[in-house]
Amino acid sequence: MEKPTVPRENEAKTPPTGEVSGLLRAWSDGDRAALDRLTPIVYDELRRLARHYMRRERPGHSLQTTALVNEAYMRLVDYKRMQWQNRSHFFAVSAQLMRRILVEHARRHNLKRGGDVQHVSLDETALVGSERAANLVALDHAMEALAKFDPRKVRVVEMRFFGGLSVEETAEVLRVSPVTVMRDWSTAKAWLYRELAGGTTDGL
Amino acid sequence: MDSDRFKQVDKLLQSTLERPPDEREAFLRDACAADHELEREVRFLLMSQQQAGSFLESPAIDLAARALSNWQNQAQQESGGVAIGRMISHYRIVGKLDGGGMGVVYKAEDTSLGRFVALKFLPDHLAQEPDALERFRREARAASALNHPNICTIYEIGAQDGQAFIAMEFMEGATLKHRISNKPLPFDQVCEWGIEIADALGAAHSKGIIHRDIKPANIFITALGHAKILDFGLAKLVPAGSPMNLSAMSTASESEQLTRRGTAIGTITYMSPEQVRGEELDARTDLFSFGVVLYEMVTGLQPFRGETQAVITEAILNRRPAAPVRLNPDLSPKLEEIINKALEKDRKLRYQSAAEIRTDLQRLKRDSDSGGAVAAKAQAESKPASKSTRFRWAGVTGATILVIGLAVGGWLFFSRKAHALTDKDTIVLADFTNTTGDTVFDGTLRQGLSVQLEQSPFLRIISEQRIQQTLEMMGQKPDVKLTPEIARELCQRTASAAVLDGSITQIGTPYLLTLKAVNCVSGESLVSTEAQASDKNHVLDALGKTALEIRNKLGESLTTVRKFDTPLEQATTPSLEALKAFSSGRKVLSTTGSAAAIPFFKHAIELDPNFALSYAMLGRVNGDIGESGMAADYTRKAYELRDRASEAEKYFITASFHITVTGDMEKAEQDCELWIQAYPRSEMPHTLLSGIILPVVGQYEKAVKEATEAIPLNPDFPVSYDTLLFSYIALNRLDEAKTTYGQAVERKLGSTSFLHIAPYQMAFLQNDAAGMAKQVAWSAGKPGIEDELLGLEADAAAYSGRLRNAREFSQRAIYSAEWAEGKEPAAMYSAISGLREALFGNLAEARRRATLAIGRSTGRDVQYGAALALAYAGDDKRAQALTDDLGKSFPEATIVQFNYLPTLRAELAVSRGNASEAIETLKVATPYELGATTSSTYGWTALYPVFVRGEAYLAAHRGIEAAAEFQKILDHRGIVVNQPIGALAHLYIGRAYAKQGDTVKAKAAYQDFLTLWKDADPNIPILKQAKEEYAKLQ
Repeated sequence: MEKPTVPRENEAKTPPTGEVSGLLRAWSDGDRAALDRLTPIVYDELRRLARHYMRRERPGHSLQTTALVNEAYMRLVDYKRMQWQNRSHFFAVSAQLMRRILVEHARRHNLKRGGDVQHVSLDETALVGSERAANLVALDHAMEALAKFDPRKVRVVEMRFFGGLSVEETAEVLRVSPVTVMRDWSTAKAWLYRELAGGTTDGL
Repeated sequence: MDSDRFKQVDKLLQSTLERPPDEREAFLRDACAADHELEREVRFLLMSQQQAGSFLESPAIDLAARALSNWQNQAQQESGGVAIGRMISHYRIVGKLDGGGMGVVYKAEDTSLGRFVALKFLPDHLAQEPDALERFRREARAASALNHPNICTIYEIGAQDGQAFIAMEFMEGATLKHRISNKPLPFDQVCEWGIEIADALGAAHSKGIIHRDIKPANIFITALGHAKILDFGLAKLVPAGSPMNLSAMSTASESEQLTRRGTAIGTITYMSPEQVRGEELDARTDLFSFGVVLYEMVTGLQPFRGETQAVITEAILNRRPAAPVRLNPDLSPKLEEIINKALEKDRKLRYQSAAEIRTDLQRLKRDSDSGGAVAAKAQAESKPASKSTRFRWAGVTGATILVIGLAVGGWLFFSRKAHALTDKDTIVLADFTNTTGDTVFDGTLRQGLSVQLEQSPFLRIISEQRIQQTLEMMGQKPDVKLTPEIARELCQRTASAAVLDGSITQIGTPYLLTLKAVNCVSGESLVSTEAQASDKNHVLDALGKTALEIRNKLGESLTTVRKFDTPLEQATTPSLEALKAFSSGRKVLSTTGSAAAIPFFKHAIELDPNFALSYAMLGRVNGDIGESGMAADYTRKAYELRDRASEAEKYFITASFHITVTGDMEKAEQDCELWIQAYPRSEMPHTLLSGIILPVVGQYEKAVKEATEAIPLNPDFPVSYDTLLFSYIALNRLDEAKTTYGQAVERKLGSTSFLHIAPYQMAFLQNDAAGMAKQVAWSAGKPGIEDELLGLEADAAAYSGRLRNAREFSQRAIYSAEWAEGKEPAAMYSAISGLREALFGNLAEARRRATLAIGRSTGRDVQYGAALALAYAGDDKRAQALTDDLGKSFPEATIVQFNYLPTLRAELAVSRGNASEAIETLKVATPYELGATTSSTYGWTALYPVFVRGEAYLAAHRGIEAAAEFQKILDHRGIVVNQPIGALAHLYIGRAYAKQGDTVKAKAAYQDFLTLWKDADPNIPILKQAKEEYAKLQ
């Protein structure tokens, strides 16, 4: 059993926030090389979280998990310390970045694992059975498809799911009301779920 | 889909989501009007919205991290924590073996002897139990010492680092479990391997070694095609007959597979009855298990199947498995005999030694080798086709579906073949309804389906040639599109059993394929399946999937007459046992009655607690016997589970929900109308309309029409005749009622619990005492129906003022109901008798009975009856409380809002002396005033709004109007039948005319009443009043 405190390992490796925001800015300004430098930083966070999950023998401790995830985002993109004039723009960029990096990560893993072995299950409880487990790569594809007829919904997903933004923050970026975000979110989720669940529905 | 269309869908989805869940359906239907495509898309998104759950709700990084940790965990597990190159004792791990079904087994090099071994780790706890390990070691060594070619040699059993392991003979090949994979093995292989296994068992048994866990996963088939038994002695490590432990020891891959299948079948499947019972075992236990294995080898299926350990145990102990020849018609009868003998439950009747089986198998092999082995030949010929089919599907559907599909489908189709195909079993394929706008699917899908289905040797599709001939006879062009209608006619003309209707729709990028088999005679939808294709390239895969599914489902519905005696109806449950119980329930409902059917439906939901339709039927039959509370509970449950039901079932469930739970008959009526549109050949919506829904709103003409339509759709369903009888009676059309009754009797439906109340009422209306007595006599001693007839007798007695008799019958009705465990009906009789006492002027007695009724049940109609009795009996306070409560509890119930409440409020107003308020209150009831609920005890509620309105007019000194109301009651004798207000209406008309000063008419009416009550008990208050009033008129 672990103590209900947030382990703070790898503190030393944590990049200074200034660096991340600088890279983000550079990336959004068109500096492709910035992505290459950002990727390992995100991966580090990812591995740090993964190690945490691996060590845990039982599921649960959801509070702690939430804290850990929040922490990871904070470490990557500390909004509070952001000096940017355009906070919204920054939110949008960081969400896009997370999407890029995480999808790429999943893609590599899928390749490494021989494709059909094990996908990232978006939600094990929602998608029953491994056949139905979709992966981030498929989600990315589905989002591209959705973008063709409703780009705003895709941005909502990008910000909420990849960027870890709240409804209010998402609303701020998109300059729409939180209600609209919620509506977009629910439709997009339903649509994407349907896309990803693919397979059979029980015939009866 | 384009942006505009998507916006439309999105908007509608959101508006739908804003409604309360139970309004969404109706809203969506209205909003989409005729745009079915739109409706379908929104419906789809709604469905995924509900299913999506926490999908995307955790941030991506969290999920990615979890996935990463899973990968790493899995990587560790795959090597079993044992890295390649690691030394275990003097064995170096070389790699992992995939023997199929053996669990995690490593290939290792014996560094001291320079040979390869197979290394398997034993359950962790063993290393900590030296005694157990030692016992195992002894036995395994003894078996090994036999040095039998068909027993896997164990080299060593050891332990290192707290983990026990076995090093055994390294073999290439796969387990028998893997080889069977749910399909029958060729005859020759069954014989050869069977002989080898028997031989090995014989050798072990002769040394006193029992295996105890013979199963396909423990039999290895080497690359050279020989059988070898694995794991001798392993099973002894757990106490005999302890299935829990034993299944815990099942190999990893097996438990994995079981988990994947979502079932909990452990190794108990192969246990002998004595093993299941935990008795002392001898060698004969292995022979039984071997019999199970043989059975599986020849049929591809386990003989004792079930979803829970309990069901399997029960099957092992008490049930004969389905005859193997029915699952595999090519099976030689001799082999079947051998299997049956091995599977004898009593070990004294079983084969007594492995050598005996061996001899029999050997003889069988010799006979077939020496020629004339038609069976074997047929086997050999049929094999390649089914094999290629299998693998094709395996590729597209994934192993899980395949396993389940073949397990069910295989069994059913084999058994159909065993019954020999008749003309009845042919099928017509309709053209696919293609709404995608993509013409590539036209024709191809039907063709594809035809190819898929023809691969099954068990289904016969009507040939194209035959279709052409028949089309010509129908006056159709040869290239006409085979719409569902045309296909149905084709099906009927070719005397086929069913039409397969298919459709393809596009929803976003994915496609949805549906297949529906329709019984072309009844129009009833037999089965339906659907599958999604993620894009165009996967449409044929999805087609294969649905084809496989429809095959197995079709088998379910067409097979079972001989298997179970009762016809299995198509109903959505994965459990065959539950389906059988359900079907028996349906049959009992039709042949005996509602009360008798209850235990069957209950059993069905015990077997499958998610069996929506069975809950719905429980709701219906409980409603029939007056248990409205239970009816509501069951129906509510069905409604909650409706997503698991088929389309047709959903209609039934939704209609039942509105009938039984909300009581909203308008909605129920709409549901039935839609149901009829979708399933025009189903009698059920017509029957519900005529029997339950329309009577509440007093539309008896329409009820007659619906019942008349229901009967030809299913001429053997007694309920339809029953509802037609009631409708005719309500309309005073007794001659037609008689004719209908005659038709039902002719069909021998008179012995069911239906068709007794209405005939009693007919007899009553015709003063036919013998006819009444006949029905009462019939019901004597029959639970759930006797009480109703006694209740009717009570009312009939009261109708002529014989109150003492009435009380006696009411009491007997209560006893009878209680005896049949009908709490609510018992309460109902209390309430009705209370109301009667109140109307007759025995107020204290009325209050007593009403109080008893409420104490017995809180059912809706009980509450109404008690409240009305209390209102008449002067207990306004309690009557008001009950009234308010009814209003709150049933805000949507048509009968409550438009009949009960106005009646109660008006009666309370009358007793407060406010007649005009009463008249006003009753206005809303006018359109419904001829209505009565038939869901509780024979429609006793009828015409009270009219009676109370008459009283209010009387109180308001509006004699003519009062007389008109009471006259209405007399005019509708068929509705009021033997209820007390039918008799009292005479007296009240007299009072109304007296009020008007029309003494002549008043006198006549009083005389009518006094004549009717000539034999009445003299001390009834209202009779005494009547006499006094009459005397004053002189």
